[in-house]
Amino acid sequence: MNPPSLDIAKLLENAALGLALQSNLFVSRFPESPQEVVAIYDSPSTAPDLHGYRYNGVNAQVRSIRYLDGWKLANDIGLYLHTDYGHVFENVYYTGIWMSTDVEPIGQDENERNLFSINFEIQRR
Amino acid sequence: MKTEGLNKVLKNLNDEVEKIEGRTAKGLYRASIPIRREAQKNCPVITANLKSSAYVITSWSGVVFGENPSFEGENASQMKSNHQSKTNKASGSVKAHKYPVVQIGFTALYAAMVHENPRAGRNHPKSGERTKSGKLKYSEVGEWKFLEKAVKNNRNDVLKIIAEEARIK
Repeated sequence: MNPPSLDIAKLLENAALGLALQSNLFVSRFPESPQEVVAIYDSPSTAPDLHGYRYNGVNAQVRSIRYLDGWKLANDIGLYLHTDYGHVFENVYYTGIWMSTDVEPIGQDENERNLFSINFEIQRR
Repeated sequence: MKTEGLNKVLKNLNDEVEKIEGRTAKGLYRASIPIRREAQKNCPVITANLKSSAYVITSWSGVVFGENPSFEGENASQMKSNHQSKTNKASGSVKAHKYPVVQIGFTALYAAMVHENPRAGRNHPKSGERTKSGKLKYSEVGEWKFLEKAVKNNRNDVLKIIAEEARIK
């Protein structure tokens, strides 16, 4: 079983959103370049239940020079993953993926690039 | 056949439902305490203004925690007025709910930025770094998701506390 961040990044790479791992899509790191970048992090999770289901949190960070481009990409990522359910990926059964927050503009970095955050909850086994 | 005392039964039932609602509210407030404490404990700290900006609002009493916090530094007065306006606004929207609601939040201008920054607090590569004058530049404590984590960690206790309070006594 992979960390949820890696599976989610791989799902996004296959999503026709123009994202490619190690190019403009990263797992658990947010490199200074390129300017437009997406990073996926594992975020706080809760303990597995007695049926073996895992409840994971995943956070997607989007950075963009243009506010509108960043918001749109974050929104596309959110909608692509939201309510994605009932499939097997990398030998793990994903019961469901849900946006737990909407696209959240969280300000600008020191280079005045816009930052967005989206949170997801995942149930998998 | 004649049924007598139905009005009394209905009155007692309604009284009991009302009491349950009151006790649910009490349970909600009690459950918010460990969440707020844990969230404050896990805040990244440089000036402690983020930690001080925590508030708790209930739909029945308004602001019950963080009514008049003190802030430090150049932005102290701006943070103070921002805190008042944000808690007033939140209080209005929380009070508009028909059922008991408790809201926990942080009003610091950068609260969302820190909460959503995976490199905040002790996870930052420069965590603990100080200026030449010895002033802390990057927090050495706390981490991102300080509120979300507190909610998740306390989820089971929250349900237990609310159920415990709502039980017919």
